[in-house]
Amino acid sequence: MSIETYLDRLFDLLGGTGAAGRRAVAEAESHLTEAVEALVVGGLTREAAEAEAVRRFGSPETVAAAHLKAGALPPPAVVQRLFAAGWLMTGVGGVAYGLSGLLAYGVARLFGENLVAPDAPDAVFTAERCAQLFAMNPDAANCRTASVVHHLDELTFQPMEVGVVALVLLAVFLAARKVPGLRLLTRLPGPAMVSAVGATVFGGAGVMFLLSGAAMLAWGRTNGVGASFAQGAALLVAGLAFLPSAWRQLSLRRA
Amino acid sequence: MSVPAALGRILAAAWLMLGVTGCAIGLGGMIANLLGLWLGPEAVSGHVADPFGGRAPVALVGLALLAALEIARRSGLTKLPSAAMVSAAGAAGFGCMGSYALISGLAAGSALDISQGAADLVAGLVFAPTAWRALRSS
Repeated sequence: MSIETYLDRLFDLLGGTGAAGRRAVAEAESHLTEAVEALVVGGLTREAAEAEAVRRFGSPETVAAAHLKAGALPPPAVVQRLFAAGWLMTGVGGVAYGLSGLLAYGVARLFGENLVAPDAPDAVFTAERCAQLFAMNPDAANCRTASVVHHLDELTFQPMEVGVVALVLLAVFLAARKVPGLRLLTRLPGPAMVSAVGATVFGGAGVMFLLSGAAMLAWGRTNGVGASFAQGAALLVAGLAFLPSAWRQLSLRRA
Repeated sequence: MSVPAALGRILAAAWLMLGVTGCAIGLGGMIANLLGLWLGPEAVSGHVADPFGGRAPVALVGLALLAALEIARRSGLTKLPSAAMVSAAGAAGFGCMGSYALISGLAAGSALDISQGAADLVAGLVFAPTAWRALRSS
């Protein structure tokens, strides 16, 4: 195996290990180059010297495994970072859900409740479902109106309540990060990972909801389209919140 | 890094994710067909009689995209963002999408959603080892 092939393999095996992995590849290259020079001086051809230097250094798999073992976080620390990331993402997701409720409420007030509630004008309800809906909204004029009121509550006020809880969750997270005793529970993974996940998951989900709303409009359906657009916009905003950090991490990469 | 170079890496990441998505759609069709053999064709024939047959072209496009990306990477035409970013986005994105489809499929008793959810989870797991390594060294 030539040094180039060896280093390519080592680079692949250390993918995702950041600066430490990059340094390990650089050190391996330096060591192997020096070893080859010494062997060539000793009388070997360059090809034979490279093969011998690689043999003495150890297989890429062995070197990468040793590097990962030496520099890796212990599993409990990894679990703690996943917990912190889950806490942050749950908070952001909850706030986005709350924002979607607020936006849907605005759409309902501005353009009418039928644009938010998914009930079609000719919706058919079973007697059992109708009884459930009237039990929740006894003043409704008919079964569909009761369903619209019920869905409006589900799509506006309930998300807003969740959003308030999520704001508290995020505030507690930020406060806990300042308490030294709680640092273990609030230490996040690297910003590259957190920002990539936030921008991709929330941004991707936002785009999907917006496309779903657009598809509903394209098929001539307007009931519930406002809720889809509100959810899409709120998730997109959440994704955009991670974008500056993701862009910085992306732009920092020189290799 | 210049803005065009950063945008080029985003494009390469989107290229990769599109390829993986195409393969996941094809895999979802294969799993649906297997579920059809196991549970009976009526379990998956609500929409199409042969889920994999319908999705095979998408899977082929996905594979072609991945092959073209690999060729472009080897020839130095394109570069992906860091492995930490790509693996985290892939594992979380496909993992979340798969979990959502799987849970909603189980709740609604939809074999097609269950199949697609399982396929998306497999796609997320492809990124998991690199994401785990990146997490351990973060």
